[in-house]
Amino acid sequence: MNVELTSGRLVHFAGNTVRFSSDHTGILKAVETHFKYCVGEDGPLIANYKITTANETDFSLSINGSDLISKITYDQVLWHLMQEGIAQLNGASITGLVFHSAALAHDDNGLILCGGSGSGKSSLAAWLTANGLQYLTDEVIALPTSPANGGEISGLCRSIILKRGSAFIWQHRLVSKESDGFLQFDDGSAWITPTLLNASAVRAKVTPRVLIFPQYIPEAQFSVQRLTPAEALFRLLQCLVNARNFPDYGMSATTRLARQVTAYSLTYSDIEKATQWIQQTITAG
Amino acid sequence: MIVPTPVDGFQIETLEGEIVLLHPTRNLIIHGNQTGTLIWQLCDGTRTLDEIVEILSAAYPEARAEIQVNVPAIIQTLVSRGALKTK
Repeated sequence: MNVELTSGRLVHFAGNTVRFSSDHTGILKAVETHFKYCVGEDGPLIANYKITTANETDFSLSINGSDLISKITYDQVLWHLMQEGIAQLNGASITGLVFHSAALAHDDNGLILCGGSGSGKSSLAAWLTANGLQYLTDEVIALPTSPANGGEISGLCRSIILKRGSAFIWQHRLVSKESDGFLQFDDGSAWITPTLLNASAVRAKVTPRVLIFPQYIPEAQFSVQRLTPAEALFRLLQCLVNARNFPDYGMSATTRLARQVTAYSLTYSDIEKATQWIQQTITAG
Repeated sequence: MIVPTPVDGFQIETLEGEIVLLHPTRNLIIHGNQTGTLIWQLCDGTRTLDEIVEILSAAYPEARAEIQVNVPAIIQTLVSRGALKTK
């Protein structure tokens, strides 16, 4: 099948845009649903992904007209788009520092959950969203390099991506599952639109007040440690994705963020207990 | 005679008496608590290790024994992490 594709979902983040388009209605619908809130500010189109279909089980993905991968399944297409597209947006930003972090908001108080894969930030983001916080992202935030606007952050407001164990919980908790908003994969992982957890969940920007470095460890005792600004800076720099795009490697803007927030490290195994403590902390302002 | 000297190329920030060193091309990030920061600041390429130990021992005489053990160890750690070199 050879279809000229001119439309598609534009995904904006950190001053740049990627486009996902397809001749397959199922792919298009999934992309529309799970990147619906990635609206942000328009920026240059840095990557144009096209998905073409040979048949229902054979998809090909190209970027800017060059073949990227072929003979992949429907699920693999979606994961490639999620990973490749976001990596493009993260690495290209020259207007904002991009950190591996989830972010939420309670009124004017922003919360950053900073950490790499497996730290539990997506699971915590899901629980906190379901408990009434507003959702910015479960994956990456952008911090403008300019100190204007009070250091407001924005997030890549994709669907929340949960791994098998965490997705299983939500599969059973969500009473009114929309078939489109809850997308479960064969490996047990799931994508959940934030509005499925909380109808008024989505937030574009917020000024961060609390910064938490979560660490999920099975069977671990719940523990919290207040961090000094230097400890927060040290940890933030380890989660900075696009440092090389800036003359000072993001040091000055990251330092401003470290000074601006109250920072903690949090070790937990019981997510309800961790969520409760985080809510108390962020609502206290 | 050991003279600990800062390695070039670090971005340095000091917050509330604690230091963070970032060496972008080596992808190296180091945090020093207040003690480590004080030692780092004394390692300016002019003082010997013995002089640094003596300065700190004079400033904190009650901790002399601890300083004599810990300061060389901390400097060695900073050398092994690539933040200091010796000449």
